[in-house]
Amino acid sequence: MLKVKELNIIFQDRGKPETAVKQLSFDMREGERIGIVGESGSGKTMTALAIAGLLMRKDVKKQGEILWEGKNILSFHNKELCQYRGKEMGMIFQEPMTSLNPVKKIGWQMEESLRIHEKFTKKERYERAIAQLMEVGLLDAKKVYHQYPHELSGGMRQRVMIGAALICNPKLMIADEPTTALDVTVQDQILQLLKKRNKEKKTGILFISHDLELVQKLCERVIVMHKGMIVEKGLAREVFTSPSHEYTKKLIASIPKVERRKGDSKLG
Amino acid sequence: MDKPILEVKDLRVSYKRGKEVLNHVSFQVKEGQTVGLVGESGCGKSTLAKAILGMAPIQEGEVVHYSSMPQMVFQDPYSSLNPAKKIGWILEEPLKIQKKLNKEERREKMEQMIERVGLGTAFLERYPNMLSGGQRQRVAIALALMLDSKLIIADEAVSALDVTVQAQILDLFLKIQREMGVSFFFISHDLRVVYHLCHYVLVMKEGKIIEAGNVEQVYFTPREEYTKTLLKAAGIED
Ligand SMILES: Nc1ncnc2c1ncn2[C@@H]1O[C@H](COP(=O)(O)OP(=O)(O)OP(=O)(O)O)[C@@H](O)[C@H]1O
Ligand SMILES: Nc1ncnc2c1ncn2[C@@H]1O[C@H](COP(=O)(O)OP(=O)(O)OP(=O)(O)O)[C@@H](O)[C@H]1O
Ligand SMILES: [Mg+2]
Ligand SMILES: [Mg+2]
Repeated sequence: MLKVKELNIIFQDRGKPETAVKQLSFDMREGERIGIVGESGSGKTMTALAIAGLLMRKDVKKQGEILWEGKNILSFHNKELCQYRGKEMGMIFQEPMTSLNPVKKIGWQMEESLRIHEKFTKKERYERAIAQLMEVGLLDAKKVYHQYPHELSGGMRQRVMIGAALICNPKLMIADEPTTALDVTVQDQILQLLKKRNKEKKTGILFISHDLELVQKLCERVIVMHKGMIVEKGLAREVFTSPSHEYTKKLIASIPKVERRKGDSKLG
Repeated sequence: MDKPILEVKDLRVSYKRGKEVLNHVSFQVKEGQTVGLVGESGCGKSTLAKAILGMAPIQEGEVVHYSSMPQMVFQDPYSSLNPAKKIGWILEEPLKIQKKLNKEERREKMEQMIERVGLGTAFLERYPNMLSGGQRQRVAIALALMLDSKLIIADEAVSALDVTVQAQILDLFLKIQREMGVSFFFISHDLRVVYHLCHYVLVMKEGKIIEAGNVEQVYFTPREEYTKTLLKAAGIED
């Protein structure tokens, strides 16, 4: 379904060009769940944006190919891009405020891709939006529908964005750190929802996270990135239990643990 | 360590359209202490942080500051960094306003701070949109630390960071606290991080503080069912 071949992403907006992603290759079959983990700044978001067809800026040089059902996304025309974004592919962004429109109510944003891609009546759109808000755990959906982004908490905004990305039943869901603002309980709820979509609708999931434990809960395969390159890939379970690359080992070792202390080490 | 730096007394907050968000909230942060605030999404944590800074509509109650205004790391770093300015400019601005340091001293301080959060000095020349999410979050942390404020309020300040970088930032907080006696009010949904960093913890549910106490005590002998549920969900049980 998706084939990334020797992708390079090079920034040239300042003096010397800087390579953010180097020789990245991987395949994704229909309905597969793949996780990408890696250090802050390792190129996860840039990879996601390129696959989402959102890195079309001229000053960012892209080499290699990203094949979606055989066609190269990097050479899509506007019309093809529009069909791909929102309908075939849904994207959840790392920072909700950058993708939600601050002056539009939540209802409007939820229905945006339905307006573009589907022929629903106003009432049908409303019903879909409410059901989708409920599904991401916003139980006060009718109230949220009429609120503005700034009137929601960070975690609520993140869930609105997840809902908006899922509403058209895309074939591929790219989720960039979708649960950073969520507590464990809500996080689990979102993972269950993604799993359900994956199972029922065969939605492929590309899940980007700095949280290896979370990735292990959701994904079959995992890719570990470091400094723009893939340093390790394999079955999530195996990478987690027997990591081979130094960075992956460090990542697993630094997970904070809660062990009862004698006295208080933080004082003095 | 016993002198309060911040005192919140019987605070009630509600927004224009809607019901009460904070309901009779009271607590203290003492000098050199880190107080954690946990609770589920939408319970009122960010609202409390904003109310402390005078950015939320207080209906009743009082916020008393015993030092200069605290610095805040906002939950959404992107909206707190001016997109039209380079990181160097953004970090230098509060120092310029403060007028204590000359140009070289300001430069030195900026360079030190950007390195302490794990970014090289080359980042000073970049604009916010040329950074990754975690890099922006670290710039927001550096910015809050620039003025040597006595109290730092951090709202989900490390949630976008992978554990290796997160550990580095938590160590930085502990170090700054040891060196300068800074206090932190630390909001997070990550109970493990809160355990690692905080002395005292507040558990919030639907705008009320339902349990408060020493971290060890709350984590290992929780009184409230709700606290037990939160701990259990986070995989912390003894
Ligand atoms: N416009 C730009 N010019 C130069 N470098 C850039 C630009 N935008 C991003 N970068 C750099 O590209 C690298 C990859 O960024 P990316 O956003 O993909 O990281 P990430 O893996 O998503 O990190 P995080 O976990 O912190 O979100 C980073 O080092 C970043 O500083
Ligand atoms: N400006 C506003 N106007 C109206 N309601 C608001 C406003 N800001 C927040 N709220 C509401 O107040 C409640 C608490 O929000 P707050 O941002 O304090 O939650 P939080 O505990 O920080 O949650 P999260 O963990 O998701 O960030 C939510 O129901 C939210 O919708
Ligand atoms: Mg990112
Ligand atoms: Mg919040």
